[in-house]
Amino acid sequence: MAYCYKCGVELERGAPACPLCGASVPTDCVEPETPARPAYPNFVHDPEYGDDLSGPERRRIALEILSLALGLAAAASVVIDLADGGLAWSRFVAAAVLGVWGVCAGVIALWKRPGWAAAAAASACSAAMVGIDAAGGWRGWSLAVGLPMAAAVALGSFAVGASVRKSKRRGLNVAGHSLIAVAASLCILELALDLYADGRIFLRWSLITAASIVPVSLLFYYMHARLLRGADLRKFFRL
Amino acid sequence: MNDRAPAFFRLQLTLAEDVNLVALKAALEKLARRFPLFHVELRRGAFWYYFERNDAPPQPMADSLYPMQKPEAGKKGAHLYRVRAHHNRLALEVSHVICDGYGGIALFKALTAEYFRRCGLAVPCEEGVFDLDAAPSPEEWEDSFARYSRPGLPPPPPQDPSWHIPGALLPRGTIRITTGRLSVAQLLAKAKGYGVTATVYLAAHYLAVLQEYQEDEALASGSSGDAWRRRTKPLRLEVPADMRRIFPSSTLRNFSLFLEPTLRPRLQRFEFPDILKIVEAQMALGLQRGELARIISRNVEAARSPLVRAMPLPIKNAFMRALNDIYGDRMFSGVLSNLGAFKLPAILRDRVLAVDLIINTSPIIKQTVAAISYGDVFSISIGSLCESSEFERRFLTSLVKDGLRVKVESNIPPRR
Repeated sequence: MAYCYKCGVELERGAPACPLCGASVPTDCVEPETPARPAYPNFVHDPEYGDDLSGPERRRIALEILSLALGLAAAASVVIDLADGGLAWSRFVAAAVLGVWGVCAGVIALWKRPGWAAAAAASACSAAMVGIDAAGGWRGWSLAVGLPMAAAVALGSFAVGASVRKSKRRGLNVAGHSLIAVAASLCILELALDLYADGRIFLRWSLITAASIVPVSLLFYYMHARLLRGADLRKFFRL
Repeated sequence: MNDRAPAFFRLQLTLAEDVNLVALKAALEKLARRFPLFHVELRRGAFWYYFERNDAPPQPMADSLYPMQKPEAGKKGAHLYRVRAHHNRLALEVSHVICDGYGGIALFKALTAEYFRRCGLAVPCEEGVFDLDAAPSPEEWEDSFARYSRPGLPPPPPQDPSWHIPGALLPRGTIRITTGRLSVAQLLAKAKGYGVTATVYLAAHYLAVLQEYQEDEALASGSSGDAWRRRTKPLRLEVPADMRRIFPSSTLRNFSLFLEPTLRPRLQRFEFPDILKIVEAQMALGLQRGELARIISRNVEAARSPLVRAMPLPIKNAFMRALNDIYGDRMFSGVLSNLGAFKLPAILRDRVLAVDLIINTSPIIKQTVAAISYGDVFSISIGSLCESSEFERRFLTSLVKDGLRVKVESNIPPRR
């Protein structure tokens, strides 16, 4: 009969270690001829596991639902517009719906590759803006403002995603990274708008916004590093 | 229903031989007619959850490394109990939504007796084994809380939040079960030596261990002297008590309330004999008929309030979850449930070797202690969501230090 020399409790026949303190049982105390059968199975079996869908299955179903919902919305717009006398406003709706579909489908299909997903979303978004611009009589804003903005958002998302992946503890530092990315994107947006409208760069509101946002992100970094000691957000808010 | 901590409890038998699944399946089929209370599914209504009859017997299923997880409760066609088998272990996992320990034991004894009948034994209907050929009595699903509610009684005083064991949680969907088995005769002799019951003795040990744990945590966090005591929280246990002993009832539905033995380390450090006296006195006071009646009345009247009744279910769920966090789990440092002696007809004495009771816990309380005895084996199972097995070590070794011989097993090895 084996006892734990630390806890003083009796152990199951053949137990290699004490379940309370982890202290190993000296080999001469283990009875290898008649080891006790484990009290619990060494596998997890719960009814819901059988019902679980795999990741690709979930993504395929999500893509189907998304395509059906957006397709119906676009078709309904076109039909109503046609009944109203011809294709007018529904061209904008169709281009916007295609853009939304492209962004979502890119993210769903490339879920495991965030870099590629961000690039696909930016491309779909840019294509949608070009489509809307063309539907409205081509003024060129989609190339001058839309493309830089989509690229800035994609790069910002990619940078945040990469930094989150690298960080050991993900908490308020994620909010800090996101705010910095938003500030940078706004600066790029104003830069593109200035170039498109006046042909010269004079940053105003984006710098004011950045000056407001950056201290908040610094506060988040401080809270993450010092006050919450890197607490996980899900645990912090008991999600 | 909380996925992180499903309100399930589990009764398990260790048999002399491996479980015969054919006999078990046949026994389950026979239970459905005699126990209509258990053959229901939980449906979501506009204002309340409600039960819908489901006469299809549940199928026995394989046991799992982590019991009482991923309940199907709430799904269409899903029962609120399940029967599991693994080698020579037969287990019943029941949701607290339908019954308490008394109801669970009644179902489990009936299942066990019928199982052995299907294996060829003539098991009589004695020692609390229900006759499966008799008609079910409507009293078995009576809401006894409603029967004994007396509107107008003053509500019980509010409690302050209690201290909880700190530490990281195990991954979602897992639980560590550590079972210690000891001699009933030794335990009763030890408790009698202190002049108390086994439940008071275990509760006192539980509180003494929590007190020591709290002190060690305070010292580990850099506190010195007794300054930390001024801001420390009380240690309070939730000890379920069967109301049928005080308010006559034969319902199988929930009819238990909690006693709340409490230590206030802010006042002083308590020695074990002091803790025994405090727990015994508080539990005796908590079992006064009037004290219990006002708790019953508060709970029943709250459910009858027009405001609560008119509240849509999603809002009610969020509201109740918040209330449970504030006035439920946060009030208690731990749970100690002692179901007492589990008796079976004499013919089964050599065929059933051990009985264990395991209750689930919540991420706030983190660990529960559940006890049951069978023959001369007293089983104490600690269900824990803590990564560290420090509480289990402290609790079971405190019994060893008090002179009791404890044999230990666990479903997963310790992480410290």
